[in-house]
Amino acid sequence: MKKIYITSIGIVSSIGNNVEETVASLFEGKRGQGTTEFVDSDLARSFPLCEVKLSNDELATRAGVSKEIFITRCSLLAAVAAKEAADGAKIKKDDGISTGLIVGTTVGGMDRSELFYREFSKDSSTGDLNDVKCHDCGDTASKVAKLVNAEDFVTTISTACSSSANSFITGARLLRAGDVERMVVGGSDALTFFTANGFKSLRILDSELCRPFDAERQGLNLGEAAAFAVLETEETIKKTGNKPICELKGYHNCGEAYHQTASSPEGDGAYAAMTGALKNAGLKAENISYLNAHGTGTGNNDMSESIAIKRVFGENVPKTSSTKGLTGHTLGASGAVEAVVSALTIRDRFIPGSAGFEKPILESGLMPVKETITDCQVVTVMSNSFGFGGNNTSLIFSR
Amino acid sequence: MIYILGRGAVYPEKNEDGTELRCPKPDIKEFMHPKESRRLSRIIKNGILAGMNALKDAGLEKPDAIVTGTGLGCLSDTVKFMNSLLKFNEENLNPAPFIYSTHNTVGGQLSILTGSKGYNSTFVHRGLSFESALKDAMLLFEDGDLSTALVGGIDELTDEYMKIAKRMELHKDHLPGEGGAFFVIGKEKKNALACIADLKLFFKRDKDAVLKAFNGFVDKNQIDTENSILVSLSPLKSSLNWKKVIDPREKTGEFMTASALAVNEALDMLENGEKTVVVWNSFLNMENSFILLERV
Repeated sequence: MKKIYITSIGIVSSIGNNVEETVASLFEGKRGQGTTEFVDSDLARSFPLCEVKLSNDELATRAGVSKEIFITRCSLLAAVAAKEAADGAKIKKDDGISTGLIVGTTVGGMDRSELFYREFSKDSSTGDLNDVKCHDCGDTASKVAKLVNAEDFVTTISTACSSSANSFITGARLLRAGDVERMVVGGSDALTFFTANGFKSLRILDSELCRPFDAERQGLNLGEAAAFAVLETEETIKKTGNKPICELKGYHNCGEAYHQTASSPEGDGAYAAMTGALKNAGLKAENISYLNAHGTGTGNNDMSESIAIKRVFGENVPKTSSTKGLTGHTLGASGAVEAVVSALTIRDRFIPGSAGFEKPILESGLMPVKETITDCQVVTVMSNSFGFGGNNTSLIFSR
Repeated sequence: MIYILGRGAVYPEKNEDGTELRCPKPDIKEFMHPKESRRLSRIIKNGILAGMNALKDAGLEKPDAIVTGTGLGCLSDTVKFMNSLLKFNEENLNPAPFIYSTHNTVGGQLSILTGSKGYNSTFVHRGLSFESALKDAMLLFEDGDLSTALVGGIDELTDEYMKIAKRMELHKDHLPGEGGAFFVIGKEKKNALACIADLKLFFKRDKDAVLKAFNGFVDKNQIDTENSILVSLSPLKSSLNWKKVIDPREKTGEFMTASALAVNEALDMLENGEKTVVVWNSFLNMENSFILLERV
């Protein structure tokens, strides 16, 4: 089977506007929560949110795109991160290497359509049509594909919080089948009034800084981000001369078939995703040097995930952390954000701390890494992403 | 080679004033207790109906994978949650419509109903949502050890969509529609309804490139254009010299996953004796797909 390598990455989140700023924040344990400047909502004034510290104008300037075309914040965030990844891999127009793009997102252009809808709901002849014409999730991928010269295969995945993790799986499969030679994969989600209130109505938002895997955790903090990676095969690398950051060693996506929103108490779906990824990678549990957990900070996820982790790894749980205490839960982007973080731990030999963690969950006793560990050998990383609808995905990256 | 082993479709019907095509009220009590289904919106019920009927048609209880395509997803739940959000000013909201508004709800419900714990993904890429799902499902057979996958495309119309589409003048040549279809696909030829001989997704939009890609598809597969049917949702069909060209949108209406119903139409034609049918999709003349279906 063809090996798949990550040769370049790009990211924009509340803890950094590019890869190097993100690394600095991860080393420092800098948290991205704060009050928001760009989301107008009562909720935003009472719950911490992890906002990217750039306005839409600034995002457009950074990506070198027109705000007339990149209308939604989702597409602007994606443009910035995908461009960083594509530039790093020296993707050029008509360079003779066929290239595709997959974007994972949960709400796509909702940030603008909700503005439209406020007017439209009062009088259906009002509301700026420019605000709603980019509502569909495919809008971002269509525009970003053109921007980064990745138009040979373009699609969009929406499986709730595992959306962009799944873009890595489909991307790898397209490369192995020979449909394209190079893939840009990742995801993007902007903070919206709609999603923030959705999570509030589920009563799983923490009104303080979130505490993934802590016994006293009260819920998650929402965030926004975009992150992308360039996937290449050995044959492609011969042409591009790019140096791999790490290998996408294995993956597994499975449905839990349990409940539309909740995870089973024993973490069956999480267990199946993790063991399936190990099998796909041809690795054993003890080969994992770092586990980047889904770890949202909600009662349900962290309980079932930590129990599943114990089931997979027994007494030898690898160094584990959730970086959602730093970036917030960036929903459709989170799988790609954490894939980028995973690649960075291999590249820069460190393990980020699990911000907000104090004391372990009684039932599982899972002890995540509290403070960032530097100068350590990270060979193989597992990254978990679990979503509504029981969509569970684990990815494995290797030096 | 990948075969179609079963199918289930939900068709819309023209409304009284002839402005749109909508599906009749879905009855899913065969698959779900009314108590459990009462909160589900039309797209979810229609997805369950099409998906479960496809499994029934294939004589299969649990597929090894479920891959769904939807252009706009669960619009009515999205609107419902948005309305309550504005009405109650962000306080004490019922989370149900938010939960069901996520694009992977149909795929999730089908997984819960069938107990399928295999691969599950949802593609949401405009006019190529169904084709992306089909492509992904077909790739699964090259990568993993599975024997069947349930794959489909589904969308729904809402009053809000109708008003916005009208203001945008989106559907100039065809009435907007809704509905969709699911198919069981697998590697087993026995009892197959048809074979998916080729599938191509094409992303460049200029007319010459699209025509060149389509002609390339025809040449590569040595399709006899004299004796094959072209089921076309593309306005470029008139520039071709196929003998038999059928536009399914009279029956399905125009929507992002109408091509799933177009494939179902093609299966009818194969059942009635045709040997080869090509489905050419291009929602609003954006991205294109070509699907070659052959009688087994």
